Amino acid sequence: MSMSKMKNESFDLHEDVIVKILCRLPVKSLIRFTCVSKRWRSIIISDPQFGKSHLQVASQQGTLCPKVLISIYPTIKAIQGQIPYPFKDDTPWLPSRFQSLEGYSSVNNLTFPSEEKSQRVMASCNGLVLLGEYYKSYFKNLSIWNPSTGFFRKIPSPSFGFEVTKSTEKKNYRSFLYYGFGQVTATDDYKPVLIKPALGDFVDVHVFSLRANLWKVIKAPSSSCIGWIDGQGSLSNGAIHWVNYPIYGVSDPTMVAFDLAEEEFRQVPLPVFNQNEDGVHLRQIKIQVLLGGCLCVWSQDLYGHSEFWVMREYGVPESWVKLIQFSQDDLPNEFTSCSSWDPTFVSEGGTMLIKLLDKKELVWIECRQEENPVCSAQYRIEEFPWAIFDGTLYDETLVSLPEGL
Amino acid sequence: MSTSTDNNASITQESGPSAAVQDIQKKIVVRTADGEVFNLKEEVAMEIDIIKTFFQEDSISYETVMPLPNVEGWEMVKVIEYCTKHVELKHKVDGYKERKAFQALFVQNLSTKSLLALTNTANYLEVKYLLDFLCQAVSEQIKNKDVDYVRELFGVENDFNDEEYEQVKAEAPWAHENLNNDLH
Repeated sequence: MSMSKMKNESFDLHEDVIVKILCRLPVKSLIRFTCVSKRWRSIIISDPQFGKSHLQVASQQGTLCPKVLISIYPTIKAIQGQIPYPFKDDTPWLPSRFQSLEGYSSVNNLTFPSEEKSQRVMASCNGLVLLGEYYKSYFKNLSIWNPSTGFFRKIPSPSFGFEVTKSTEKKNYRSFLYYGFGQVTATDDYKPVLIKPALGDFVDVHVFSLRANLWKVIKAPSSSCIGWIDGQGSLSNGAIHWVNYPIYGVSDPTMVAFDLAEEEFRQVPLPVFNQNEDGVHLRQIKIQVLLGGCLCVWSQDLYGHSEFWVMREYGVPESWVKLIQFSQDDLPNEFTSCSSWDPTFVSEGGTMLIKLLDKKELVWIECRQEENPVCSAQYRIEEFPWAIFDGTLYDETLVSLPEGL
Repeated sequence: MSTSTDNNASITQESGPSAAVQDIQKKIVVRTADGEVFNLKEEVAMEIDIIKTFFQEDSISYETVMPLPNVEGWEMVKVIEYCTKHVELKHKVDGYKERKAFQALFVQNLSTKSLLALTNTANYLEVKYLLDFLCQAVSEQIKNKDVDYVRELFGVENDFNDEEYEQVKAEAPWAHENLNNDLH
């Protein structure tokens, strides 16, 4: 079936031309045009090559549309009013709910295209979201989902077993697993990465290649992987980054990156923070990725003073620039009695989207030079109280993966 | 096959008072589907890959009138207009604003249907930068239109039955909201 059957037309429209035009349209228009005909639908949603071309054009033109994926993980009413703990295995979780948020208030409910239960959002790359079921300090039943098109692919379980270890490191109570997801541009491959904390001289890095449909175990020296704080790594420049505290409170933190193409670790320099204050080694550092792809680091000291630094040129230590700074007290009223907050994204212009975890809210703040941050919008997660939520930045794309080999 | 000497000779014979000037500017002649004949300056003609290939690959004499059965006269006028401007701006250092102004005027009086026909022609004639520009222009004009409009414009038949259509539409109702359907 051709893409265009001319009736009473004086010109014969070439298929190439139609595809070239479609490539330049925004995702919303293209999703709508999947209703034009079966052939158009097949090209737009099911052709990985089209998704790839569209992403290239959008990236070049700067028309990629970032959205926030809101994931809500409800549980049944807890016993004795206990707030659900994210990673307890015996909490009875109900199916996760997902919404997409565009701008300040445009929210759409998303249909999750699978019966898989308790799927948690782990990371996102090029509009593809990596999800998994958290179980006994590991993520199993991984899957890939494109929320814009509904594309869904389950990732086969690894053939090797993973040890169920009890972590003796109290400081890692928040997560026992480090993970990330990214693309190797040279081979157009996408790779989820899972790493267990080091218990010996070596640590196992579990890498899955979507193109090869294969799991691999890479052994890396454990010196690269001690003392990480956050489970989720940040993708930038083809590598996944974590902050490393070799000896918390004593030595300087560093940043490690796992290069997805080379499949090895390397060091990336952090900014040089103010050396004169006490307790410089007790900073909390978290990595963000700036809207637009530059690596960004959030540092919070003991006194609640926050700084956001951006590495303008990847790998060049001198290119670290302080973008934003403020104290806990400077924050707007929405933050009162909410000590626990987490940025979802930071933009060049100082716009920040923050998760207020206790209040189940997302707030946007604008940070301008010489002024206190101002709250510009809020979004409340409407859900019965026994749920935890998360917000993940993702791009609206039509990217999909070819059928398995 | 004529030699280049013959070519020059024939041009000189055909030209009028400004023979000397025309001698320097070689002309290529094409005939479109509706029988119209166009004389193109060589440097403009060479921007059109299909013409360039035709004359250069087999060293065909410029005396030959190249037939373009897939191109309408009005389309040729527009293509020549764009390519001539492109060649002119090649020699300018900062032609950005001028190019933008020109491009806005270029599409001003064309219906979306005509724009689409012209895009198809640019593809056939193999003028990459014109094709890119026109694809972008068409996409701008259709991005907020609804499904019916697009089907009509591209001449696509709906092969969904009612039930299938509703099903597909229901997958992403948000994509069908806030459209602009003024007739163009």
